[in-house]
Amino acid sequence: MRHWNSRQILLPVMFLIVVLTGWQLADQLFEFKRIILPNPLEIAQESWARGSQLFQATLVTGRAAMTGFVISVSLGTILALLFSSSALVKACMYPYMILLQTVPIVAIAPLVIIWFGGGLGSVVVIVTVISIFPVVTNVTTGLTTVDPGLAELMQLYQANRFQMLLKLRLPNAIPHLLTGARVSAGLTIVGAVVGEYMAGHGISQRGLGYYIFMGSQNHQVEVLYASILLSTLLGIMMVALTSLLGRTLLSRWAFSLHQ
Amino acid sequence: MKNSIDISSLNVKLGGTPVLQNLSLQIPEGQWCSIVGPSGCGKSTLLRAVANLVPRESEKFETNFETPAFVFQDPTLMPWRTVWDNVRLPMELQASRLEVDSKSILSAISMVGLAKADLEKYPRELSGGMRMRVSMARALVTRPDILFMDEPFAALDELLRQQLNQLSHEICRDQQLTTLFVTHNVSEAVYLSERILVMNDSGVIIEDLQIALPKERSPELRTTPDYLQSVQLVTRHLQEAMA
Repeated sequence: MRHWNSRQILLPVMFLIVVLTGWQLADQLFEFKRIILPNPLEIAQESWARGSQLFQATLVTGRAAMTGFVISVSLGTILALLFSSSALVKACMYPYMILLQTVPIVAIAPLVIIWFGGGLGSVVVIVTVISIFPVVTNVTTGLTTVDPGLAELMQLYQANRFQMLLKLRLPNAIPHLLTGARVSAGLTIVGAVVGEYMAGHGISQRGLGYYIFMGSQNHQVEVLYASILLSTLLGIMMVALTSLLGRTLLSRWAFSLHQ
Repeated sequence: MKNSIDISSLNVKLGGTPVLQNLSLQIPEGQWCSIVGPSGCGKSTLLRAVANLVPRESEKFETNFETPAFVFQDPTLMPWRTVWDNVRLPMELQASRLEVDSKSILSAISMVGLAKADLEKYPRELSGGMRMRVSMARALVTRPDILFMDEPFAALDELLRQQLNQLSHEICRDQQLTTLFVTHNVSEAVYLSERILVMNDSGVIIEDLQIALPKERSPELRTTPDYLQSVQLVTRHLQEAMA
């Protein structure tokens, strides 16, 4: 299992400090136009001033991402169970899953908004659409690629289909599910921000995507930068939480999330 | 003595390719029979065919066993189960026929020399030798009447291999188990077996050798002239099979 050490955290943090300091100094030296590239201090000041609004927006985006994530994992696992138990179902539906994955999300989003209306519902659907594929493919792989020796062992003891699923295929799929969930977790924020950017929310439900949209429309570049930073942090948090869950669950197993 | 296995004209195809053709095999109850032969000759397929793990055709296929057990080349333990739960697995799968009782599990675990402290460990926390012991305990927990072993000690070092040879011999002797054992190691085959079948590249049994050694096997046997002579004899036949 991979453990973080101080060097792995310290070096990127030091690199960030160097970049921010360089950026600040370069701005003082060359006096960039604020509308094109505000300096880090200006971004920090604006973020502080709008702290409450941006915090609320982060919560809204986080909630949409988390709801979509839970649906993706649940629905993705059910679809994988279907695909692994019926070659016919897989042959009928799997090509469309791949097709769905190849269509750009910005092309699907307007359709989703037409069908589900603006607001949280559409954002959650967009998050689900973008993040379900890694769960389906990984769990299907985990359910179908079991150790042949273990499959023979189950056959020797005349295990029925239910026992094969419960005692072999499902536990075998758990590390794959966690790998898929980790990829999916990163995508949920992309989906939520794109959804909010295109669908927006009600007056009381403004997410980071809305602020990115408004920031770009109104040339509030500091808000744009702050929203990008917050959505990135949210994405990192989602991936970190999924990884932590995986490591906790699999700490004593032979599998690793990188397998 | 009654036959535990009585098969004639056995044919097995894997992926459309014939692996075993027209093969006959009779194994009396309680006999330890080893199969040796060049790599890819179909030894493991024969074992799997007798254990009903691969599709086959035969003129006659009579088996007189109810509870088979298999020890694979790899320990094939479930990484998400502890030692205890891995050994318990066959009982869970046959719950309708067998009672899941802790006494049998403990008995199987102690039979293969595992300590109580190991019961809550996961496979990744065990050495290769210990994993193989767990695999053997899992095979023994259902009190089988036949044991199939497919090169179970191939990946172990020589000292550990000899220890597990002795353990297997004692268990099978005490339980009067019919044993069908596949190995590449002639010394191991001679030490453990009452009978050795030599297969050639075409999947044909070319020699059926009775091993005239005392029924009781102990490490001292490995230095006796009779043992060494038997090893030479089997090696010679194996070389002929590979020629």
